[in-house]
Amino acid sequence: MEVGNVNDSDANLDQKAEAFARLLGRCQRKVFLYVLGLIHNAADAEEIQQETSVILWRKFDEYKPGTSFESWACRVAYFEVLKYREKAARQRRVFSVELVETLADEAEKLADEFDDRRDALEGCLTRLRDVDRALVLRRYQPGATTRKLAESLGRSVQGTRKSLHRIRMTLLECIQRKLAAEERQ
Amino acid sequence: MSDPKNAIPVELQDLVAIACEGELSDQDTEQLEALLLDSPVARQYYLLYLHLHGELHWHEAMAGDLPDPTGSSGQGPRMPIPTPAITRPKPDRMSRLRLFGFCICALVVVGLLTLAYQAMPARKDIPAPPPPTPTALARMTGAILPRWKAGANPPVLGQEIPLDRRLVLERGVIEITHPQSTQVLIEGPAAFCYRPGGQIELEKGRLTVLGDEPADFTVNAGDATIVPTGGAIGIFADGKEIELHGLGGKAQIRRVLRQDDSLVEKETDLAGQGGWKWSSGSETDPQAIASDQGRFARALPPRDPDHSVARLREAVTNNARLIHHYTFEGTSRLEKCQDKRGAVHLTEAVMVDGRGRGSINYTAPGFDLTTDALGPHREPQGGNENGVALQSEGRFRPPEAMTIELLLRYQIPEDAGDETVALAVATRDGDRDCGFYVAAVGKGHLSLLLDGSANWVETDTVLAHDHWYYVAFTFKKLEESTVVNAYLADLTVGERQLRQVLKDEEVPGVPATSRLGIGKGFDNTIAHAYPWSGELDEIALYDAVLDPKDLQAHLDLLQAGEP
Repeated sequence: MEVGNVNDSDANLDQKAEAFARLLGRCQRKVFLYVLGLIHNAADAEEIQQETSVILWRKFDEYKPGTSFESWACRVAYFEVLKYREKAARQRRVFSVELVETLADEAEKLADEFDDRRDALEGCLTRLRDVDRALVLRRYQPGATTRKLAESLGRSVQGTRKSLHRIRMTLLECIQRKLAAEERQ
Repeated sequence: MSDPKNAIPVELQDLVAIACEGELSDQDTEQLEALLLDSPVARQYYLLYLHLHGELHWHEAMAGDLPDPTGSSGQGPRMPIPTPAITRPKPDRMSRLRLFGFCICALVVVGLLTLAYQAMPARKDIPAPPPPTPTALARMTGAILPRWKAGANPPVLGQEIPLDRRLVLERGVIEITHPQSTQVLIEGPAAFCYRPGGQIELEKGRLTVLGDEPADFTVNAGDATIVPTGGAIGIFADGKEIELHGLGGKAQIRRVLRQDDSLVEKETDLAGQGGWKWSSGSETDPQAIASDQGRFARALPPRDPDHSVARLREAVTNNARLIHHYTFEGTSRLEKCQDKRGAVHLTEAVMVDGRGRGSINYTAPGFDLTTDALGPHREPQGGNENGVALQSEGRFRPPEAMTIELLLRYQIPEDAGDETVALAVATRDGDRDCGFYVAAVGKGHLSLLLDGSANWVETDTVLAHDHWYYVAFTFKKLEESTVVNAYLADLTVGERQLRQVLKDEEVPGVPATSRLGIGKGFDNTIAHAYPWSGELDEIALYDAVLDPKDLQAHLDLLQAGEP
């Protein structure tokens, strides 16, 4: 990957755009998950991820080829989370900077495990009861919320939320078992 | 997080579930923050729960909607969630608004990218950033007995390697040729992904780069980018550790390390026959190791595909008398430790005095490229009691008549002496009741022992250092003794005829029932001991005394394997 020493000549500008698109495409999911862990609101996490993408492009000349683009992207995203937090705090209570910092540190430590957990999740989803799998898939359809899902099912919001929580806990336990089994080996 | 349900207070569980809905009140947020600040366990639960929520959200709600800057999927494979018959609801007004908002957001991003692009100096009439230039793609130009993970839509011989698709090669070897004639050999089991612009992401497995000129691609493995700069190199990754071996070639390792809150790029150069090893994500520099030349394929061997370890495995699998089968194939440790026929699965066992300074090698090179062998660890000094190997989770009850067949390679331990015992397959249920079915004793005498108070029964064979052997022992239990026959062939020197090294030998004792040691045994207190030194592969246990003709037929399947 030759994106080093990028100057702005016609020839390597194309190369730069291509390299950026490639690197960004590879880490979008991780940046989203990282941000979500710090602010717990998926819609806001999407916005921060988009804003982070813009900043990464602006600062792309500062990126050193061969280094971890993902780490750099998460670092940029972290500062975007702090900005978001400051703005949001004017309207509602949000997590303190202290907690955000702590969560960011601990998320970084869990980063390796996250990949393993994603692999394990694939298998665990197949093990869910059909009815549970159908429910969780409906919850995560585009635009779906638990409230709307409850309405469409004719159930209470509280009951639907509890069902979803139970399914997520089942998935967490399944993931944990799978990882522990591999660890024991 | 041992058991999320039991360890986590209900209050925290409720708050985190509400947080996922974006419906936390100020009071809820305050309460959640207090709980999280108070307990690392709570924070871990929160992060893992949010991660799960995020993965589900990303794959079901978002991945398909995001603008794809690469023009391809770029996100890796979609999680293969089994989809029940659900009618996808049409988006309601809020969803449409959200989608509209998202599109606006995406347009803003594109606009900003364009503005940033246009704002660069010395540019006139700059068009919008072009789509990625299609790069000439690598092609799969050779393969030996490849088996791809089901459902992966694998590459086809002679055709281009698909981009942005995670490919899992469960076994076999493939050869990939790049546009500038650089060749890459990938040995299964391996998981990898080709990216646009000549990048390979090697998640797990062994990969060899061959080329006289600098390679026209890079290899991303763990936290590093490896840039081949000419000649042959070997790369191994297991998801955590990465090794780079010089096979006469040159390469550069580029990593980013965090130092004092800043990111620092570090480069390490490799040339010649040396090697480097490091843990992905660690802050330490790669450590120099000896290059393992024999571990990496240098070419696809031109050989008859009807003869290989894979063919032997196939024949063994089809034998009706097979009761337990340890092939050590698979893409995870769990899979490699599976009993492929029965339910006597294996797990790691550390010897009585500790594991020493090594670990089990689950991807040790086998007799040929169609297999991975198991490399138990035996500490060079004090090896009888130091090391790590495998044993079954449950008890193994040897049948009245039994055959044990395997491939083995023995490495004479540094401290080899009269007391040296290395066991390939063993059981033990007491001081006398033992079943040391396949053993290398002293300097490597192929031996067995079924009664702890009796003498070792030695064959006339001393295993040659580092040679691969096909070995089979048959056992017919009598009242207090067992009739044993043993056969072997030195595969490394190309022996084609099975040699009988024990003939109807009546051995004191009968096979003991206990956990089954693979690459280890037990001392007289039933503590883990006597780890194997070298590699083991294709261990098959049958509930019958197999006819020598059947064993010869198995050996015949290996004949054309490379010596």
